[in-house]
Amino acid sequence: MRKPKLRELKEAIRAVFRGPYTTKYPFEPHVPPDGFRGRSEFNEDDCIGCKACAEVCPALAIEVEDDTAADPPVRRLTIHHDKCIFCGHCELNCTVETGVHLTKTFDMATFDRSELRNTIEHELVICASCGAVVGTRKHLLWLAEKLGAKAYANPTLIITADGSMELAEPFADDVVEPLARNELMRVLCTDCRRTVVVRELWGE
Amino acid sequence: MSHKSMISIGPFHPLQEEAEFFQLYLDGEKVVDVDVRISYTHRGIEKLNESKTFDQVAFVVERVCGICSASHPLAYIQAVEDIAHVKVPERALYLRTIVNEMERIHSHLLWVGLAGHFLGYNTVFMWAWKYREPTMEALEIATGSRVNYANCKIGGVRRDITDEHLKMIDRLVTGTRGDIEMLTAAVVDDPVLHARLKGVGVLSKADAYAYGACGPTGRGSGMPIDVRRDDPYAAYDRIDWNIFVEETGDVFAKAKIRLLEALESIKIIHQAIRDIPGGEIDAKVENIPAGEAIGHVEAPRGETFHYVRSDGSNYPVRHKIRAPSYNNVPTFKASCIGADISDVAITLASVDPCYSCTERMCTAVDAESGKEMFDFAQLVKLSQEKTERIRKQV
Repeated sequence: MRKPKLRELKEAIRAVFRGPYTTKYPFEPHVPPDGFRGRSEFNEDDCIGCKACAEVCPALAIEVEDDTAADPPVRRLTIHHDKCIFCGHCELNCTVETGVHLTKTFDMATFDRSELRNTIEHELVICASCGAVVGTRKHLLWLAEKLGAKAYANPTLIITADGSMELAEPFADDVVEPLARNELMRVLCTDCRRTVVVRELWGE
Repeated sequence: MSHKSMISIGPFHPLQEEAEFFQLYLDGEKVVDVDVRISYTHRGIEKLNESKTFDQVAFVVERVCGICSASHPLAYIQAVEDIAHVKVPERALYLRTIVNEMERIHSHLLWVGLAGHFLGYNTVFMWAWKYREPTMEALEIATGSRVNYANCKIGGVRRDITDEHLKMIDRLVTGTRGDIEMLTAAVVDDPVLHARLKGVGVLSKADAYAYGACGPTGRGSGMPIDVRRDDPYAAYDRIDWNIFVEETGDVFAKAKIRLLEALESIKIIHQAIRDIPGGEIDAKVENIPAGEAIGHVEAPRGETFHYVRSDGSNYPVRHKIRAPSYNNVPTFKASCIGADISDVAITLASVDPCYSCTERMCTAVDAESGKEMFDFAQLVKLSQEKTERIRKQV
């Protein structure tokens, strides 16, 4: 009986000298360890707007909004931190690996939900014929750079990439219906391109 | 003079954060019958999983329970890996073992702390949670979060732990060994706890088998079952460790088993960090073929069981989850009968029922007198007063 009590007394005395075990968090800052999964943010320089993160998000917390009416047309990617579950699946599946990352910020308590957003805007490339979204300009440029010389197999990539380097003349925007062979050298969506190719091979 | 009365506990549990409903039939202070009704927190997780891709389901099942957030995804992922015939890299198996064992330490110490609190031993509560804290820090270093570890993925683990971090984790977890040994000895030697817990809430071996109890609840009643030993997964078959079985079946045996298992987990983590091989952490699974499989894992509370069926698409067509509490909660029918009303609190807590919800309680109001019958504070007070009485006698 006596010995066990001494053992616990030792611990109690030790605790008296060591002071409180708890931290004084709101008054003293808390620094999370490296690799902490906190508030996720887009990297303005690296993100290409491919929306892979939005596709894989288990909580559907990343919203994609394509505004084709704006000039120039833009894609808005928004992370809703009030829906986010901080799993890091967006970071793991990012096409460029560094486009979105989880920061160490953990204290997001707020009275205003609109603060819990992180938005990034990208210029869209739209189909010259039907107006459908082809992709963001940055995504096409990234693809062209990644493919190197092989990008010359795809006119959309040639025009976007060489156009941005001012190697190619800008094409006139007027598309003649029905789609014909000369339309091949324009920025076309996959559906319109298929139409052109099929007509070229088999006629009307 | 004795009189028959009935006490309703729930649907919001007075002790653990779990929605379940017990009706205790009393004869004086003795419980003569108990009616157990569960399944109040239906969240539709199995159906939700059918609309998520195989990768995303892991994050949903992680949230089945706040504490078993490494065991549930691992069981699910083992089922999917069984369908796809994946050979998981060695290093990933060790990393899974480390995270799962840290989860066991923190869960068991959490329970010991709460049990101490319900008995009026707030020192046990404070100390157990203090010794749990280094493990929580280690988990945060290893996975990036204190809960919802997002650690496993189909084919391996999502994140490697650097050697530097492994050393830090070893130091943090092994550093608490002395403290937990002290706590174990303090709990096991304490005469008041002996008087208060021995012979209380006894679940006999026959009853444990009849109700299919699992985990520490079963092992406390003399059932030598442990998925880690009986059907080894992760790296448990490459590591030297023991399971603990007590024959008495009372709350004291369950408390002792949990503390000893926490110490054994420290041993497992230390060995795993020492022996961990290098190399890949992910088998890079391309697609999941059609098929069905089961996965089971020894969660801190017992065996968690997942069944997954795939039709070759990106989404599971059926996913069935059976958490250990599903087996353990009905054992109250055997363990509560014959107990004092003041012992019911700790008996109900002894199986460590597992949900993560908010702690609330519905009070039953006596229609004749208009008084509340029993609420959370009253039940805990009854329990704490009994300890106080015993402390004076011992």
